[in-house]
Amino acid sequence: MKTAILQMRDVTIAFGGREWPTDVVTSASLSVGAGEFHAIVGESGSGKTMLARAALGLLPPGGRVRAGSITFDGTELVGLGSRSIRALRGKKMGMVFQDPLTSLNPSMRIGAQMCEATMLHEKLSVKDAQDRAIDMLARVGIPHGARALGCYPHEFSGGMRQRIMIASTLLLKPQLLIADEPTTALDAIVQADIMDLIRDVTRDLGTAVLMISHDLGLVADRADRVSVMDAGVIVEAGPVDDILIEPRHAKTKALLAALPQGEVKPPQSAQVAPLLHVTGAHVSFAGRKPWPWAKAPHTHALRDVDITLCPGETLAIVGASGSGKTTLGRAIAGLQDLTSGRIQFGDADITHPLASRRRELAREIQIVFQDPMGSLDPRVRVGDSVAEGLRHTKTLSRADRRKKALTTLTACGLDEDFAARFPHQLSGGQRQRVGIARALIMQPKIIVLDEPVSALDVTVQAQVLDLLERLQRDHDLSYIFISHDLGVVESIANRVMVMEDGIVVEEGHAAEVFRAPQHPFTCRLLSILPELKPQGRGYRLVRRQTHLDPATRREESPCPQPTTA
Amino acid sequence: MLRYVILRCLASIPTMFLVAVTVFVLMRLVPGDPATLMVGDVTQVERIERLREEMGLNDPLLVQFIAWMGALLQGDFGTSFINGAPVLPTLLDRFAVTAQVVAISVLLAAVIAVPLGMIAAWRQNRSVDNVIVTTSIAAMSVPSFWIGLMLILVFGIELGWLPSVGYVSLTDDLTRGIMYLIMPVAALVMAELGTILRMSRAATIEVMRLDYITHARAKGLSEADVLRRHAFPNAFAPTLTIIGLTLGALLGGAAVIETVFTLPGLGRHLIDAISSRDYPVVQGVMLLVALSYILVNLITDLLYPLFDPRVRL
Amino acid sequence: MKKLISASTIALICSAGAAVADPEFGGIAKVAMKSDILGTQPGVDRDGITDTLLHHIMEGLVSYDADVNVQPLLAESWEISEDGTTYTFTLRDDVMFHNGEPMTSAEVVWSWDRWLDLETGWACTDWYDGTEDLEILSVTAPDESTVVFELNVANSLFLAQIANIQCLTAIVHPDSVDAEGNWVEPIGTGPYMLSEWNQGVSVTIERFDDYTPASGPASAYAGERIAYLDAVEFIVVPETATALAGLQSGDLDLVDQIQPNDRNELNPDLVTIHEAPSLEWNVLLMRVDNELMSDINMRRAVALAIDFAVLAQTASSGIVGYNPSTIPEGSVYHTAVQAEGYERDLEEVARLLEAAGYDGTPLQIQTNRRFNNMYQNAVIIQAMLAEAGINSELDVLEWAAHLDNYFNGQFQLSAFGYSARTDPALNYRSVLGEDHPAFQWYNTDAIAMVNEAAVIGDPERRQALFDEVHRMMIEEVPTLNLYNAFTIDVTSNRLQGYQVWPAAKPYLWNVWIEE
Repeated sequence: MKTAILQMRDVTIAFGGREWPTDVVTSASLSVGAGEFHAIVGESGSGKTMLARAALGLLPPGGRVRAGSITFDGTELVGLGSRSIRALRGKKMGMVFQDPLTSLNPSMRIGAQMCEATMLHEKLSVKDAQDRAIDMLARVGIPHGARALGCYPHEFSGGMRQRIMIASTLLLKPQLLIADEPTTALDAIVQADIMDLIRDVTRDLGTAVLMISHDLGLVADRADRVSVMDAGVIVEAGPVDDILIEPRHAKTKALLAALPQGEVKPPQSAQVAPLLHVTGAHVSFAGRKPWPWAKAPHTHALRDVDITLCPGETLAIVGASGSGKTTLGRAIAGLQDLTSGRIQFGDADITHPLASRRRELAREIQIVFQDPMGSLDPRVRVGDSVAEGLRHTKTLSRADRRKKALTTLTACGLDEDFAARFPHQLSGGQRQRVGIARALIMQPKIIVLDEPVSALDVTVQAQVLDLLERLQRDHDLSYIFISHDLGVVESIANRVMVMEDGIVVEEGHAAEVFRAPQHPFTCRLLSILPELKPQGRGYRLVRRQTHLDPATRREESPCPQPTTA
Repeated sequence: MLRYVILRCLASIPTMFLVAVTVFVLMRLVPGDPATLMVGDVTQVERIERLREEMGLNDPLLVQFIAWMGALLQGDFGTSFINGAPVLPTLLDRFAVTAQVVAISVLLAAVIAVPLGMIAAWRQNRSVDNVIVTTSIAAMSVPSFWIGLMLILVFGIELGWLPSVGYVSLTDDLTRGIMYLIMPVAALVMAELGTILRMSRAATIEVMRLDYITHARAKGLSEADVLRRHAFPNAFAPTLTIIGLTLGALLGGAAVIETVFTLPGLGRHLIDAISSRDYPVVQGVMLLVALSYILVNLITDLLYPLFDPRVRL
Repeated sequence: MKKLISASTIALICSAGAAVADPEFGGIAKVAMKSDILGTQPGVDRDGITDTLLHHIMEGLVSYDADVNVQPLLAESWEISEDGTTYTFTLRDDVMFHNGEPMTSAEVVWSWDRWLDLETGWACTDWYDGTEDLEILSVTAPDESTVVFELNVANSLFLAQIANIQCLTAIVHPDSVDAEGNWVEPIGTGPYMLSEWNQGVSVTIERFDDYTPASGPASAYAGERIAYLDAVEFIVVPETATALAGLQSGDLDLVDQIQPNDRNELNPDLVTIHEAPSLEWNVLLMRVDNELMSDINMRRAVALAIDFAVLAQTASSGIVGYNPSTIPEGSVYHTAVQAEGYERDLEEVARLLEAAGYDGTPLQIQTNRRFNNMYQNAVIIQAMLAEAGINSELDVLEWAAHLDNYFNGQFQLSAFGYSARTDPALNYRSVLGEDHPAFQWYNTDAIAMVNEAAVIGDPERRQALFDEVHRMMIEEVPTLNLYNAFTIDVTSNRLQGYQVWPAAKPYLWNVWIEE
């Protein structure tokens, strides 16, 4: 083992007063060798972020290291004065945060933000600092660095901003880079790119990495060592291969089990009429007019998209952000007007959201949103949120509605006593269950699931997906499942549609799309999926086949017409 | 930018027209007759009739409105019913006084409140924060009328440092002018400090939670640099809006302070004009107030991108 | 030694430390005024504050003394013809305008022509153009020191009208206007000249050194008026609390018309308080054309339900008492007859209410908060009516609305007040009349009697007429007189010789500063 650059021994982190401290990390020990890529994997609330932040002395207000020792390059950090620790921060230890949208100062130019640390610590001139920044930007894959320095953060996409963050942090060539879920908020493909970037750049610079993640699959083939955390305790640690092949702790096994297993659902075999038929769906948004009398420029979110959804089927719509998948989902749910095209539900034309027929059928198509916190009113109790959809149902009494809400909550895996809680008292997974219950109570035929699990930990993702499958069977539901990650839809989708720039680039039965992708974009999506192959008592991580196979052209018309005509 | 200014100016035309119509109609809906008020309790029917005729109050409303509007479009605000003086020059004089006091006060309040709010946010829930917040709420809760009288009592009567009545324009005599401005400015600053401070504190707390502040700290910047370089510009943008609104509101409504401190300002002018039903003056004041409100907000909006480059005009 | 204090002044000097010393010339007095003056042309852009100020600068032929009797000012003397229609004034020959020109009959005629010209917009043309019986047929100047007024009818009010404070018939120099006849600035004959008008802030007047006072004892607006002060600065101070603070801090020397309660805020060592009854009078108006109030039983019930002595005592903090008459207490025509009013009698009220068939419907009393006395009167009356079993509700209006309703007769009861009138006939004419809703009492006999009193000069006959009208008024209960208003003015201790008088107009001559 290389010399440890960061050494944590029996670190206990507490919040609250001296009298009644609450420990969020208990007796955690780990060491990161120079140049080593060390991953801490655990679910939200397991204490992994607190542990990492303690190293930089950046615990949130009220938090402190109650016991134990943290040494960095031989210096004891616990109890070190703020001036001394500031001298280490940035220069010796850098940190990259989860959300690239909030981790760059929106009111400062990139150049000023990147250069302030080098100018502070190394007393570089403006010119030198800028040259260094441009070099580093080039290394993280941003050409035209000189121009980028004059831009503000909002002029870049999320992925680009994370690259800038990394460049900014690595400018001082720190000995340790702490990365706190640096890719969680990004699209699957960008995630993989950024992960690879961190691994490659740090390897070149000889920087050690302490990577924090909830996704074992994402870090498994990039990390040297893994520490698994659960409830404030490091339950298992070791070289990554050892952990994969021989997981000992139940939590590690659970994390592994949540990874895609390479099992794909068969297509629907029933010969039935399609439930939903979208033809030529086109949505364009008018931009801002330069003058009141000028013509507004249009951006096209959807271009002539056709969809067919069969009863009981799950159709996955996969694409990067901006591909139009969410617009399509909202149009189907009646939340977005089509510029042109037609939506047919059974025999009914439901193209226009406000038409009376559409409103009658409104309850038949429900939607579940990505952000479970944002889509629940924080002042309304969960039970009332769920029952809300029934308030116009005159035939039901208040008590009936309440009873129904409770049954639905139970069906979604939440005890009846959840009904009295407020959204902030729930975990992310529980909130998403409430979101599902709110849709389910309307007894819909179709539920549009817009990134329903993207904001959740992988283990929780798996549970929610299980729930969705069970509900589909029990309630005879059809799903439109929108995601940026092919891995997520693998276990649930019957059919997959891949979108790029408002166009469907590939469509087919799940098994066929995963086995024989037809479009380069699909291949890219597939290439980043880790797959676990059982080996011994554990697993072996493998990469997917990614080559195009034009030979196996597939049939169109996924819903065969009834032959009994 | 220029395009934005032009568009905003165009957009303010219907607003101003609406203000004009509303003020015109409302003034005439309010009971009370300017001519009767001028004559008072002396029963002189013929004189009242003659006055009404002179004032044009016997014409149909629409005719009165068109006449007023027509003159207005040529820059003529009409003449006061009460003393027959042209409305506009007096209006501008009065406005200058109010603008002077209000601008100094709001600027001073902002200069004090913004840093204090940031310090309070930085030391959130600690004793410094508690002292700052409690004091600002106390200052906010006390009516400015009372603050004014207390100031006069202490500095005018007890200590005798400052003049308690009268007004000298800054342009006439700078030092004496300043002496007369100290108390009204102090009272206004105290009254408006709290609002700006609380906004600055809230905005800073919001900003301090964000990752880029932690990131700035992780870069090894001192707390002062973190606050100055990273927290201030982002927290100041929303505060700027509040400062603009405060300024706009005070320009038309510092009547209480003007009355207590005997300032010949616009607010008092408006109150006097309303109680004597001096329609042309009331209408003129309201138009000016609306215009200054629109302008202040436009300037605020134009300043906004300086602090938040995401905002494009 | 000049006689400084009018023998018959009603003013009471309440504070010690006002020992009379020899007047000294010099110094500047600062006076608070509630709002800015409206203009400098007398009687045109006018209100009470403007009147107060302009009386320092301009003078008329005659003026009022401290007893509100007409005295000569610019006139030396006058003669009235047998038939009462020709007034011949002999002018003083020692009067100078502020521009140094001597005053002659030419300027008097010019001034009168100007005020009576409708184009000028003078407020009181109605009094002189036949709108109200009296018409000035001509104003002529047979020689340099004589002016002759020809009237259409005999009218005993004529002198009182031209001495009127609101519509000052100022004698001004023709250079006061420009070539087009537009008013420029007042060139009067007063003891002070206009020095500077800083609009919205202050008006400064300075002593006119070539002023020659009229002969006769100094008495309010009449007699020997001497400006001891170098200048007077009238400062706009809208808020009374601020004004009183300024008075105590030495920034002001005079604050007039404060409320009784305000006296409690004052430090008696720093200021002197002056109190006096005034000619203004408070009333409770009752619309006789209102369905309920048209019944005399109802009106009498209201009258007998009120304890007027207590009302006056409470509302004025003991400064004035009940005055049942429309004629002010200070007037020579206010006799024992005028003092006869109503005596509270709750049993009688109950009987009257029954006779009126009163069913407990609340009476509506209109009032306003602009004039605190009106509001206070309404509150006290409401309480007293309640004790007597009469329900009432206060309808507190903005002053403009209250006045509008008064003028249009749109009320049931109204706690109102009248400003000063300087002759009993004018007092009665404020309430008595026909053909207009602003009049409160329609009684042709009473109108005839008041009209007669307005014409004749014989005091005994006039007294008899006024006494009779008063008795009729008490009998018919068309409106209830409450009490005469009062004036409380406060001066700094360094301002000496200040007097209050029934017209409640502060004046800054015959006062001086003693440090």
